[in-house]
Amino acid sequence: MSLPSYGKLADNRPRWLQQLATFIRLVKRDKGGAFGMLIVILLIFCAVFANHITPYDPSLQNLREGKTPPAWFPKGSGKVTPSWAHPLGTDPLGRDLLTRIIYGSRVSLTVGVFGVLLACSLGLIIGMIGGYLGGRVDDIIVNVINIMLGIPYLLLVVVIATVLGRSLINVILIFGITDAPVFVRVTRSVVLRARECGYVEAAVSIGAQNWRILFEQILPNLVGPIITLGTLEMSNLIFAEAGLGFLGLSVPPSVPSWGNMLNAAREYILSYPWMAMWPGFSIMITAVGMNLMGDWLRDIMDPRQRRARR
Amino acid sequence: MNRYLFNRIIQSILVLLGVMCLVFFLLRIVGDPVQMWFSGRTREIDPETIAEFRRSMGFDLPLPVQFINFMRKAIVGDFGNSFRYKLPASMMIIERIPATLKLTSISLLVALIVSIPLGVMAAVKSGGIIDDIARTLALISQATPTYWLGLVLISIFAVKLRWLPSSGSENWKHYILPVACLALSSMGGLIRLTRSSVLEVLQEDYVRTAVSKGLRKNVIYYRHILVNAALPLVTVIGMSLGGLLGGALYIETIFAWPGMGRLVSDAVGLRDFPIIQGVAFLTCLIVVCVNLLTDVIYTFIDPRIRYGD
Repeated sequence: MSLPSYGKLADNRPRWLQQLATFIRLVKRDKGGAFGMLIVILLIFCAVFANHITPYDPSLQNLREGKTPPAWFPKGSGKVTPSWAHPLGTDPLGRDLLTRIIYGSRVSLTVGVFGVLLACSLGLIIGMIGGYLGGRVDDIIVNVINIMLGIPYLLLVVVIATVLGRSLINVILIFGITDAPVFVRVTRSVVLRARECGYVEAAVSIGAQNWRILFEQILPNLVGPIITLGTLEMSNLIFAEAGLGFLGLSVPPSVPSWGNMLNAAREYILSYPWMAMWPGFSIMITAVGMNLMGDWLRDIMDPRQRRARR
Repeated sequence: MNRYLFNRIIQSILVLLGVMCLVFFLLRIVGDPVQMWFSGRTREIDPETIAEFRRSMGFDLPLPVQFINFMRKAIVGDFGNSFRYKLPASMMIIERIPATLKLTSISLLVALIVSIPLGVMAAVKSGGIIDDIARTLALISQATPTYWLGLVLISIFAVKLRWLPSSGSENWKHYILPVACLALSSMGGLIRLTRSSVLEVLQEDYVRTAVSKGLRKNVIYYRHILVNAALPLVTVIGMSLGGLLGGALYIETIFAWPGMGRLVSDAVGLRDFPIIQGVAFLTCLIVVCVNLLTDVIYTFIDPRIRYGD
């Protein structure tokens, strides 16, 4: 399809316009990925502007309007008639479910973003040390990583969360630390490959210091794989956080989060099934969006992988 | 081979020791299990009772002594008495193991029966309709939270349609919903892996040779492709067991399944630590043993792989 660009005319458009054109081309090539990115952007928007989007307070109780079904439900299923004032209905305490979903995205995103940031920084540091130094240090790191990956993840998290107690910081710490091994493994393998490259050898031979080689020669190789892995892991963490919440182990029960909402909905699954639907849908849509975006990013950042996936 | 096996066994033992240390120190350093057990009671409890409880559980001894006691007992599978039921935790857990193993193994079987043929067909007719179906199913499976799927299935099949029971484990009808949930949640990874490993094998020289020799399609699929693509699958089956046991935690809670998962989620609510520790250790033991086994099987089915000779 695309010819070599030797004979191409000089592109005189401003740099940002060229970048925009490249971006649009990438979006057109993989519609799924663009769709995923749209979902993620929407999610971030909801989380940031939650208090501007919805007129309700997420924890304001209004018992008279409690147990309202979603707006499109037929009338007569309860004492309260459904209305568009509460599009997704309310819970037994009369709190607007749409509002709680929107506010819940804050918890999910915070845990996802900061958990991945922590895991990724730990993974980068440990993986770069192990991969670059090699020898005894690397052996120890590899063994510890294998040990950590051998433990059933969910159970470990449940044990730690039970002991530490419910708070946002604890949840981020738990996921940030238990998720680090995946990042260590990827970092290490990239560093090992990069260390054998000619340009690293050249840097060594001109007497560059270790930290300079690590940051200037090797780190750029890591950007692509780490961003891709980070996106996919973020969806995993959001999943796991909601799961912990479902078991009543995540953020305190007063905080509106998707996991806590599912936990509360469990009791009412027989009489008010809609309560359980929305948090689940939100988690699902978020996971689909982040997975699609992650696959898309992998295609862009690592074109060699593309053929294997198609 | 022997040396490799030896190393793997040492590593497995280290995993288990690591888990035990983690579980022990986390509980003792971050918090006081006795305090946590008594906190949240509505009635005021006099210090005498607390001290008595502490003595009877051996929590009044110095930390190193407690650790040695804990390890000495844990090695023979004794995790102390449950705070709540005053029965040996290990006994309570062992009672629950068969139910969990039945649930997880049936789910794994169902997941394999669906995802391997689907993954193979998707790879062989890559880009076709089956491929689209397989990829969509994989995405849905990976994006649907197990705990939510359980609630949805209950509200549809048990509440609305009244076809299937929502809790218990008496007859085959009770198995359908939990097994469907667990199987669907582990299908995504299996489909993706089967598909990509078959795609990889398809590009091998020996497949091209087989095609150019004019062998029948079925012979190529079964003798050349599937056998080779099965290798990475063996490891993943071992690994997905950990995920299934984790998923069982949710599923058993939702469907009131009398297994280990429900025991844990009840114990979590009660802060009944001996049971939590015991299940954590036992699950790790199962997962570690299965992973060890798959590694050994791996060397048997693929004679090309020889570790550390």
